[in-house]
Amino acid sequence: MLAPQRYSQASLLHPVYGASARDIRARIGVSRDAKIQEMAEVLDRTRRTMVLHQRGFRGHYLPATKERITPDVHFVTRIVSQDESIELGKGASPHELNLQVNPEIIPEAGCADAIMGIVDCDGSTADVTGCGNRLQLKAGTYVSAQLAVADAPGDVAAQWSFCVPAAPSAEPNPSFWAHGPPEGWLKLPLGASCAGGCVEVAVPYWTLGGA
Amino acid sequence: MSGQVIARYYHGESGQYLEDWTEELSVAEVTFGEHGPLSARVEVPATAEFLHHSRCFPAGVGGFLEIDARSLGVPEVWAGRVKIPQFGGEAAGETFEVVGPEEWLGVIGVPLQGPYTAPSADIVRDALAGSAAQTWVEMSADSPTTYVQIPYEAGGETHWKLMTGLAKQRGEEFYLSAMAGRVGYQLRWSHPLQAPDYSDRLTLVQDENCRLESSAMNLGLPLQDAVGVALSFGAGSEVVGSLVKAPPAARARIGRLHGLTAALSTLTVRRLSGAGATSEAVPAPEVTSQAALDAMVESMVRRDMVMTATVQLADIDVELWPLLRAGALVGARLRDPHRLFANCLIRILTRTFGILPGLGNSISAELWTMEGA
Repeated sequence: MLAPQRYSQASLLHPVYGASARDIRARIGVSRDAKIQEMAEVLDRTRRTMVLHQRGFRGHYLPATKERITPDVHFVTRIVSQDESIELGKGASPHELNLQVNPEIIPEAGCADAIMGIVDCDGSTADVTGCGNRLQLKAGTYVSAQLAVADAPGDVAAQWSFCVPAAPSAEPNPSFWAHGPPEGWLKLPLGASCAGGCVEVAVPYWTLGGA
Repeated sequence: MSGQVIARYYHGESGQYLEDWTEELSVAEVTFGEHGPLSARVEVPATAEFLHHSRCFPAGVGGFLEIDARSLGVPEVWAGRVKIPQFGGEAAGETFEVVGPEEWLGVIGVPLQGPYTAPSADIVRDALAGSAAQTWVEMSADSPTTYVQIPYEAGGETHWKLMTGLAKQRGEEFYLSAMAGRVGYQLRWSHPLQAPDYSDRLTLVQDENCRLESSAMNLGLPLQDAVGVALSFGAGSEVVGSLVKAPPAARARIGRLHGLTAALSTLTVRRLSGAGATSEAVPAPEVTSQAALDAMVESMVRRDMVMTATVQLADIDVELWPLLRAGALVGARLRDPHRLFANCLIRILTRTFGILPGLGNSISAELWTMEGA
């Protein structure tokens, strides 16, 4: 065993102020320096986590209009449904927001562009899509439909026409008619507006109790 | 044991060898901590030529000091950065406080971002390889990579915080060994249960080959269980915590070995009220995954479920110094009043060697297990 020596307080070998004594004090929890260092480390880790990982909620972004919906001082944004066509409710857990469409309240003008696909006599189509819904109207052999200029902006108009033969000789086979051949033909103007340029069509007719 | 100390001085930026301080040292003491070279105190005469600023800190840049006293029995090379020279007016000499790698590794940021699930050695190896600044550290080839693989958030950290954070969260440890003849360190990663066992070669017996300077314990309430609370993980989750429970066996509370090998049970708790914990919930906002939280709480319980029992030993025979290795297990027969260290294994924590003007030493150690030497 080495002979004991006296060390100055600055010495790393001092029995009270030396490195070994400092380590023991830190491990049994009585070192103020060690506690301060531990607190500094916790503070540093927390600050780093806040900056890098716990980013605050900053609301929603509307890409169409490039607008931001920002949270209030309580970090809350409100989701509203003005006409109640969308029902808001809690989901299965406290962290879920449940949205569903109320089928009883569908706005009359809430979907101005909702229409339609049209198939005309030639079989060609003209699709107008809107709101994700599509109403498809199919015309038959003697009826055609086509898009027309609407009377009001936002509306969609369809013009229906009967595709009658050009001449009596070209009348369809009488067996086609479920109630027998028509008693006669009416000539009617059709179109989006009858101010001019109307199409005159011939419409077959039957009378009740006739024949 | 005969021999001499060698003190080499290197440039603080380039690492280039500058000159030899050996002849001028009047005091030299070095401390090795649990992670490698920790601090050193050297004193040189105020008249030493190399104290001129153009040689001691050229252009305001300090330097690295290597102290190699292996020929005197010090088990490894000590190297660190000269940080604070202090001169006291009328004093005959100037004292230098020299610090270990923590000094610069605690400043250099790591080039990593995001959670990493690789073994710690691999994460640190990548960080060192990608570092824009010189770290002077290279990973040792014998660092096993089979330890815990849990997510670890590495973004925005320094190298030192990355290494100490990984070690603490995963219950592992690392050691930096200075290399002789140049500025450089070998980093080795390991687990405490892999501590080198020298108990068959070295038993420290009080008043025969060492002196018991002091012993100290912490008898505060040991942890039986612990709850850690981190972030609200994932979508739809509530507050999530990890509850770790220690076994109730009384004897398992003495000796670090029992804490490391105890079978713990881990639960995930969604609501903290009624979780059954006897300790307060530990907030851990820096932990961002459930697996990392589990590992952190388990590591904490293993550390704190066992009573802390430490000793400070001094004046160990110089012939035994080469066995005083970092984290080594050695036998001990000491006359402490509680008979904890009467016949036991202790684990070496820190080692301080006085090289000049005379030889002296002091170590701190913790009780590993009472069944021992």
